[in-house]
Amino acid sequence: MFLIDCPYCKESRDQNEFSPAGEAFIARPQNPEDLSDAEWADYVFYRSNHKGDQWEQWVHTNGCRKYFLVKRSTISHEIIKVAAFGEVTSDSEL
Amino acid sequence: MRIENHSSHQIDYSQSLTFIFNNKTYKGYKGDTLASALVANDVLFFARSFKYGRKRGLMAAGVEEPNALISLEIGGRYTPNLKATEVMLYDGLSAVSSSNPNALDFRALIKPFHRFMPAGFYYKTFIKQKVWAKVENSLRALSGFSKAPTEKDVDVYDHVFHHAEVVVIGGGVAGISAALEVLNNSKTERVILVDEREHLGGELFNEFSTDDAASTWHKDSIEKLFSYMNEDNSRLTLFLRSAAYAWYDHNYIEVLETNATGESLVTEQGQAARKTIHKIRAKEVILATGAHERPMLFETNDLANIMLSQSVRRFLNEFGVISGKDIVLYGNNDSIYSTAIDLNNINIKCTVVDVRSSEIQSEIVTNVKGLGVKVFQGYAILKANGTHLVRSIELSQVALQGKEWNVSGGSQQLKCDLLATSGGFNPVVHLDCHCGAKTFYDEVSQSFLPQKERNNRQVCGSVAGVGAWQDAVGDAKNKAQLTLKSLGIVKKINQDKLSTNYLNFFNVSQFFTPVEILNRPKVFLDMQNDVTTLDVALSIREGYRSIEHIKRYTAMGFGTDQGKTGNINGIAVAAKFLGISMSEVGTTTFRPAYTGVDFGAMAGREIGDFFDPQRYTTINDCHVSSGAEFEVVGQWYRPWYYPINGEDIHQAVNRECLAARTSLGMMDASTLGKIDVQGSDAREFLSRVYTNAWMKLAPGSCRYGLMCNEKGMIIDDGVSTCINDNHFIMTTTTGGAASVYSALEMWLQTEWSNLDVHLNSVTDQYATIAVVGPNARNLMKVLCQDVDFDRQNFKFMQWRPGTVCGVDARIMRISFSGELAYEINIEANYGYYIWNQVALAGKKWNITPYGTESMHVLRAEKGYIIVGQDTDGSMTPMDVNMGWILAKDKPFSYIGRRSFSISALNSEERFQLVGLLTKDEQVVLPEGSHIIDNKSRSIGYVTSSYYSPILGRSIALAQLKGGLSKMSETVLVKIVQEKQGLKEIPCEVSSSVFYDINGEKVDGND
Amino acid sequence: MEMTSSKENFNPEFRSTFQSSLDRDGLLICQEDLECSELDDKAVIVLRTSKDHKKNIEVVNEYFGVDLPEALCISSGNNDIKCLWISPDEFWLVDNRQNKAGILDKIELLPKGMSMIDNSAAYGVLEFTGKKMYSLLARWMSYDLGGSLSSKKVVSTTLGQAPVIVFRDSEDKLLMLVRHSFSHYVAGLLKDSAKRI
Repeated sequence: MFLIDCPYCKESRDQNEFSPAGEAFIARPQNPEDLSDAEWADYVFYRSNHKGDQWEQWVHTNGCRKYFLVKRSTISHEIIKVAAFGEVTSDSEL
Repeated sequence: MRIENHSSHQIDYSQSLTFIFNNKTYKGYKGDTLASALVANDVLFFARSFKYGRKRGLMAAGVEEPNALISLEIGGRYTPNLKATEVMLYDGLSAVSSSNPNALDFRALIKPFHRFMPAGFYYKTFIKQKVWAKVENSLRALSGFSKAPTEKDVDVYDHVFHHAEVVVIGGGVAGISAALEVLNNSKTERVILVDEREHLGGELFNEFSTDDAASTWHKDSIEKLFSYMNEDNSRLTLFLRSAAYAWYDHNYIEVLETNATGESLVTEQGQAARKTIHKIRAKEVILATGAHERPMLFETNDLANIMLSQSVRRFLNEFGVISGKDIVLYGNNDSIYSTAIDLNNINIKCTVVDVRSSEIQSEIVTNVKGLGVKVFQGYAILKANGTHLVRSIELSQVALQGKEWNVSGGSQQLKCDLLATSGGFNPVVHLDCHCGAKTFYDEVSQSFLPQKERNNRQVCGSVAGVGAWQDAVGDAKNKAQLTLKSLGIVKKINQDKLSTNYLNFFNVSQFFTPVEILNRPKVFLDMQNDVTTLDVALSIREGYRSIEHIKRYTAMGFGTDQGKTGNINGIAVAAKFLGISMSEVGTTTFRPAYTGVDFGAMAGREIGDFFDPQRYTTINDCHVSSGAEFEVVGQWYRPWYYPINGEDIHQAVNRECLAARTSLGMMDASTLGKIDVQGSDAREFLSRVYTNAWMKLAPGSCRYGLMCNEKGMIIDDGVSTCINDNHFIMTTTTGGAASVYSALEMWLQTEWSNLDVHLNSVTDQYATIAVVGPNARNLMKVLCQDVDFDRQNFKFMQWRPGTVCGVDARIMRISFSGELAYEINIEANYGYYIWNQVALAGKKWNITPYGTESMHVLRAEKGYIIVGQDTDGSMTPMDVNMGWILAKDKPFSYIGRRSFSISALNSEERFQLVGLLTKDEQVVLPEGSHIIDNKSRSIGYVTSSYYSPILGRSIALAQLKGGLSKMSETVLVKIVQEKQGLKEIPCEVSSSVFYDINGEKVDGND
Repeated sequence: MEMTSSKENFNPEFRSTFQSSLDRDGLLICQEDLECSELDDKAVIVLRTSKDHKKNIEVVNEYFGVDLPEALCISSGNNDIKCLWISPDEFWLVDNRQNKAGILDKIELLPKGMSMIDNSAAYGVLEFTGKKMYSLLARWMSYDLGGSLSSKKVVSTTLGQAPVIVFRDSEDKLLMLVRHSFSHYVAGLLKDSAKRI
């Protein structure tokens, strides 16, 4: 059971207080109707499933209930960085 | 046998105990393990091996023991596959060998065929499924160890969380030393010290009889530790009899503490926990787990009374027992000589056989020779002889030529009745590697050492290769200083000097066994699974190179001992056969658990009523008094039906449904999720998450909403109520409450943070009581005086605030049954009171409480879906014939809308929700039955099915391929009928609305 | 049809969250160095704040007489009112039940972006005292209460599988807010573990 530093509570908490919430930096298209079926499917279904460090969304379910960002290694499970939602964007980190 | 006049920390000779092993009665003492007591009683055979059924004796004295597997006690306290070396003796203990060495054994009887049954035998022989199916049960019955338990575990197990700044794993010399150093140099830091044995001291006890400094150091250190323990609000916690078995991320250590192995813990005061799992989060960890001795390899090395040298020494010093009189000590390092000294001191005959040449002249070698003990230097044992039990050994001279050991000269025989070997020491690195840390092979110590650097962790003592106890003290202090620095307590660290040769205190020779010995038969590596050096050779011949593959091919290291004595030897053998270095072979992956953990301990108290939270509404006591049967919905316990006068479920449900349709029913609907939505963008938010329109819903009105995910699939539904323009209350299904709330927050926080909306869960805030039936209005008029219930003034899908029996309430005209109905929402603290008031006032109309089963029937009669029952995450609104609910002109592309136009979601072959009417009206289709085509392939299945009392016949809802265009057609549903087997039931595809098709009943009669 | 408020003719029975789990003396647990009781006279009001941080502080001060606390902190105000930090935009006002109406009256006055709801019925309040309380809670809570829950601090976490809010108001007392639907489960866990402490 690993620890995550919640950026809002500003405290290290056990994993069981959190829930994973998918890959980070996936923005909902502003105009879904303008997308082709393939483009829409890309947003709905496709994820990068990266081997290595990846940015993920997590939510502090049994805590402050806020969503935030975690940079985690999918190889070693090490948590490299934690950020409040919106504090990092894909541009600055990838 | 027992040594006379023996004294130790371990044994209390004033407390004699009686126990039974394999149906014979024996005596022992408090402090004995089952193993030591049996050694005292000259028991030599403990069990049989897994595959070949060979009779085995003890090899070790601790957790690394591979052979002595026993089954302890019977019935509710039965525990299989315990090692006799780990079981503390208690009065009345009863145990049997896991696999009886004294009875006839089929595996042993077919011994001549064993050479045809190497690793891979079962797989290759029985690979054809048909053959395996015939023999599987008999083979499984023959092999293996203890039988599985058949009765419920009667013991109690606890879990406790702990937090500490420093956790020291291992309470031997190094562990004690490290703990003291931390305590002596800190003020408030919490320290936990864990050891698997009964007393702190580890292997140091072996030194007491020959080294006074050792016993003095021990005495002083324990005193100091206990003075810390006895302080007020002590910051030192000591766990003895506690095995640290897992090390997870961020220094999360799990420890299994044993309170009692098999004794009953039931007293007048209650029942104590038999074992406790301690879950410890540590800032810093100091690993001081010691090292396990590894055996020497030679032919027939698995005979009984072939043991590890330091284990023999431990049995001697700690327990005062020995299993032989004419002992040979054999090894490749200095440690066998300390055993020789201890034996010599009590006048037991021993001979030393040392593979190292006479050029090795350590001080201890000289001492032993000086005592008159016969020492063979530069000799190796080729084979052990005896039937089941060692009687003699065959030895020959060996020499090291370059990196290869070679046998030279002829062989000679030496008699012995106990052979104790030492091939060096394996640091107990397992825990360190659980989180992926690596080891490296150190040529000096001839062992795999833990990786040098690792965050927030130190290793000290023999696990770090430090062999001498004095050096271990210094090493532990040094490492503790590093820990203190890491904690920010000290800035400049003290470092004691260790002796120059501290990594090879025992002068271990280069990894030893001549290849000609390795190529002999029956050179066992893994005692428990009968894996020999030839099996390793076979796996390599068949192309397996990686040690992970070799392990799995041969089953080496698979057993309850997890290869503690065998794996490193196995790696050396693989290295030799592959022609590469130990380093290149590497170790297999170490995973939790380090030692066995009882399933009961794993479960702790999360069993029975505590397995999952049982959630109840505040009205629950009323349901219990009414005799309701309950069903579990998610975590909620909801009344299922209310049987009276011995009714079965069908009778009760029929009565409840008819009451609701003809007069008056009442139901507890408090479990539904309720989400309070407030803010100037509340309407916009609802519009985005539901498929239907919200912008014009007036305050005082309610609307049913359907929620889809981005894939266009229905995930939830419920009625939302407009309190005012900035305030709505959504309801969700009972089971979906948490996930819907979570999904809504996700959209709000991650996509639409610009919306002025707040969501709050109010599921527990309100109790909801549904009053249902033609007499509902009449009842409401009695219960509530300050609301106009006239049908023109309080329409369907509207709500009013009012006072019900003196309590503020929101009253909503919502109906899940199609009948005239009102839902009374009050603060949950009044739920119980209002339910009783409703029941009282409703007596006049024979008000009937009904549960979830009747609720399901009533809504099914009206064709209302239940999300999660009639839908399964693959149904769109069109699939359930609710295309009408999709608002056409919402400016925002609400969740799921874009998916509706994907071609796959518009195919005519999609499963669509329809009604099914069985031709034989009294047949009720089982839910889940499949609708089949003329080739008996499934084209759909029954999602909901009931007997409808108001219609006098069965009804069902089903998903059917292209169902909406098959109205009035006949289909076949395949079911299993009691006593008649498989049948195909003809059904008419119908509308999903079976009753009150025009919706006339919802306004009532008055 | 006569429409009169009929409150005066009734005596509604108020049942507290843990009522059915308490012993004859009204306690959940009563042992040496370990006592757990229910405080059934508390109100819990959820206050949601806007993005205008300055405004939030002003409003809370003016209407409720209490400072807006920092992350995981509790601030105290006039009399018994306490303000608990739950998340960056969520604060709980805990006060005596008789003051609830006075607090809820302020709903109309809240500026845009702020909202308030009464959640008093949803929660039960347990109070723990005695030096064995940490030992008891450590059986089900992985949070480091002894080491990390300092005075005037509030933490949302889990007790077993139940979500709870724990806060320390004074040195020797711990308070815990439990959703009533989890109260049966929580009471069960605590009573069972207390047997072996």
